Amino acid sequence: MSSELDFISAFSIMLLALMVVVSTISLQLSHTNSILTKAREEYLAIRIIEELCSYMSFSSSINVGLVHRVHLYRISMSKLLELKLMGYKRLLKMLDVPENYRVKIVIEELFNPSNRLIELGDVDENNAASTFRLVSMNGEPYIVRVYVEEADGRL
Amino acid sequence: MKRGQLQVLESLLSLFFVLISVVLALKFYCITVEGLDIEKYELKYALLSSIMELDEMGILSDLLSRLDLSELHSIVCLLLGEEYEVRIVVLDEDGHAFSIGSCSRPEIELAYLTIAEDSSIYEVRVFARRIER
Repeated sequence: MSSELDFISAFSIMLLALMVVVSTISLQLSHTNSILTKAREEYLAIRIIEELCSYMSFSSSINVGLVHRVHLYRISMSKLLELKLMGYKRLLKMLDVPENYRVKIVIEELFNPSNRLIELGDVDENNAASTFRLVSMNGEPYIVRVYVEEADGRL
Repeated sequence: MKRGQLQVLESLLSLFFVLISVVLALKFYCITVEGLDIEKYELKYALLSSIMELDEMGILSDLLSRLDLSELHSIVCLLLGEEYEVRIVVLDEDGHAFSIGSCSRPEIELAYLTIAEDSSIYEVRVFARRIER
């Protein structure tokens, strides 16, 4: 009888430990999934802004240190107009954005952010992954911002 | 099965489960750190390229020669977004330091050396940290 009780006690402890481990794993998996989603969004935002700025820009790069290279972007008004006329869907196609991602592209004045030259797409700016580049257009500074959100990706 | 054997088995299995938990927790921590690093690296790059662009356009030089740190601070805050607290420290060639904003335990640190309009050399240091998202 005593050994049966010991067995039940040991089995209960193991079951409890197993439950703790399973709940920890599921919690970790959900967090990991959230982090990977965010990383994917950030990666796409970086790729889009680099391609977009390179497409619009006629500028060069400056070497910093031995291995780093920083790009400075000069954007022409004609390229901006071309971007405006291109339309959102065609732009996403050109940038090769996967269908399950929502993207917002904004170009705003540095000293007057409420004045947006371009605002394409509809994404919640507070929850989406975002990145920016300062660009020069006709000698005036503008900020290009890209917001990316994975559709149904957030937990 | 004897009582002693059961206790050993119980201890071994519990230890095994605990070890699995520790390994998974460490793996999760690594992924978290890696995931956050992407964002920090990119922000640092974007900030550096922005400051260089401001310098190329003469705006940084103008602000530094006038020691208009509040304007510089508001530009950096605007670039990074509201969720970042930013501290900017400017050092001139005589060793004087001027500071604006506050940032405890900075996640992003950037140092940039430039020559202002008045031919003085300035070092701009930017410290930023995400408050909350």
